[in-house]
Amino acid sequence: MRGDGPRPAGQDGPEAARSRRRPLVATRKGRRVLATGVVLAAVAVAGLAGPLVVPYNPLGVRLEERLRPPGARLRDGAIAIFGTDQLGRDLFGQVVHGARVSMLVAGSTVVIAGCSGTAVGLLAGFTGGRTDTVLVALVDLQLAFPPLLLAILLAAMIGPSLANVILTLSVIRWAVFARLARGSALALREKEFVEAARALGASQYRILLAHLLPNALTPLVILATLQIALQMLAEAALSFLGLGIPHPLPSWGVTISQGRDYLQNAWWIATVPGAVMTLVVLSVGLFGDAVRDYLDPRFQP
Amino acid sequence: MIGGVVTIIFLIVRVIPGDPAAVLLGTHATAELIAEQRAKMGLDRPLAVQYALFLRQVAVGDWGRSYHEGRPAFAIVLERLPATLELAAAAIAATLVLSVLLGSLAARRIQSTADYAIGVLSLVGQAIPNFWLGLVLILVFARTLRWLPSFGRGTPWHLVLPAVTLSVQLIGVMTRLIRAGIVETAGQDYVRTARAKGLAEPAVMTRHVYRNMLIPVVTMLGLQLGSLVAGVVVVETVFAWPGLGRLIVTAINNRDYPVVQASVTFVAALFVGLNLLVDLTYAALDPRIRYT
Repeated sequence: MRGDGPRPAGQDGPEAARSRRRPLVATRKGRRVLATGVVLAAVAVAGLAGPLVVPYNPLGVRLEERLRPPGARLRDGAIAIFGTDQLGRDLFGQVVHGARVSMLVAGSTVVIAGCSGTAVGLLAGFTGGRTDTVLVALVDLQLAFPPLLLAILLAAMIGPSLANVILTLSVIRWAVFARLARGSALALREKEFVEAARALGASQYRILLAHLLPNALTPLVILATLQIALQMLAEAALSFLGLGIPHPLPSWGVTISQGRDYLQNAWWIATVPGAVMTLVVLSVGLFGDAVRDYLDPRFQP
Repeated sequence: MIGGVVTIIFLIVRVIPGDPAAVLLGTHATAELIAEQRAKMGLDRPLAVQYALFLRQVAVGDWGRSYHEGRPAFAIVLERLPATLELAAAAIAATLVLSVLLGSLAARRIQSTADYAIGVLSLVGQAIPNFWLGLVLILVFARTLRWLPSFGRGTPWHLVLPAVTLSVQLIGVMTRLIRAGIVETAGQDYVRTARAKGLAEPAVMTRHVYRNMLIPVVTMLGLQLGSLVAGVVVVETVFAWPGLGRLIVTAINNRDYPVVQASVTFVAALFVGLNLLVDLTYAALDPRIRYT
């Protein structure tokens, strides 16, 4: 799921390009992408359609129903599948809304970090010279800092809020994308098609956007899918420490952190959201692996 | 590199909202008292001056005094260091032993049931949020079975749950890598030659296979140090382990700038130092690599 990251572009053979055009269902690897993507899509839909799945306020306090175990029938006849928490709030509702927050944060931070990192990396690799030196120094400096330690410091600085979590987690990840994009740009700018474009009088921007970017995209997409799981874990860890999503908003990290005080008499508050989260992160990881195998045919697991 | 890290930390820490002077004096402080306290702490000076003073202090090893306890921040950090080192060392040791064991077991018969089981386990290990795993372990082994203590530091038994929690994710990553490494090296010609000349299987594994896959393994362990650092902060918080990670979290909550600066810089420096150590290990492992 992590670690064995993608290689910079510029090394794929023509076979790779051709097989990529075939529909997903046609190959074994493509079907694996679809199969693992289904779980992910289900979670995404549950998150997006949260108010439909949970047509009541997940933060509705009902003290008379507090600390009910999973599957308990409440007084109004409804069944609390995952039980209720210390204030009688429905845990299932919190988990669904937590999925919403988790998907939103992971998705947006990967897009923001991916786009900014790619832009910086391509620019550095393509222009070279002083720009490259400065940008590479910046990337190296950031990578010398353990990412989550930086996130904890930054989050403490700007205070807990949804927007701030997105900002923080974007800041800690752009450098990885920048390094990969720069490697691709360095390899690609020496290729004949770039030279040809330049000979035809294409501007720098055109070469960057129309020639380098499309050819550097595959490893970046692979990296992005692998980063989603990491960002979900990072958001939950920040929220657990009280530095992420602020208290009443339902986030997996927040719910688990609250359940910590009730481990003895209500084990489900802390354990159920974590189990759901593990399953989601696992399926995101499997999806990332499937995407990598599909897009990078030469990778042998 | 360390200079840059120090600068980043200074900038981030000084922009944390909330006035430490106000926090220190409590809710009943008057505006004059707070202003006086700010002047005493040097917080009324321009940022550039604060930065220069800070750099001078760092150069002479003086990190200022904790706003909270009044003791030198660096002394507090050093006091917490052994606990963190103990935890990290235990986690790394557990990771190496278990991942080599599991990785070898999986690589012995590729695509066997054991291989698949270990593969699934290592994926799950990477997907589990460590703070949640910590709570589950406390629930099972400390609260329900009452085999192990749930928090604090002291006997070796106190170390078990935090170390396990911290290492599970690393074990997941490393097992996968070690399996792949063994499978790749085992297919090499020199391994076939070693077997063909009648070398016993344990000797083939240790002298030819393990030795040659050590470099990628060490590289990977180096790359994982970053997540180990993050894990230390979270796991120490879960288990109330009196180390640097918990110090960082409590110091941030107390707005104790000198302690935050000292502890984060110290951890970051430790991280850079360990990475250097990883690079130097290459030369020891592979005689072809020389640093000039």
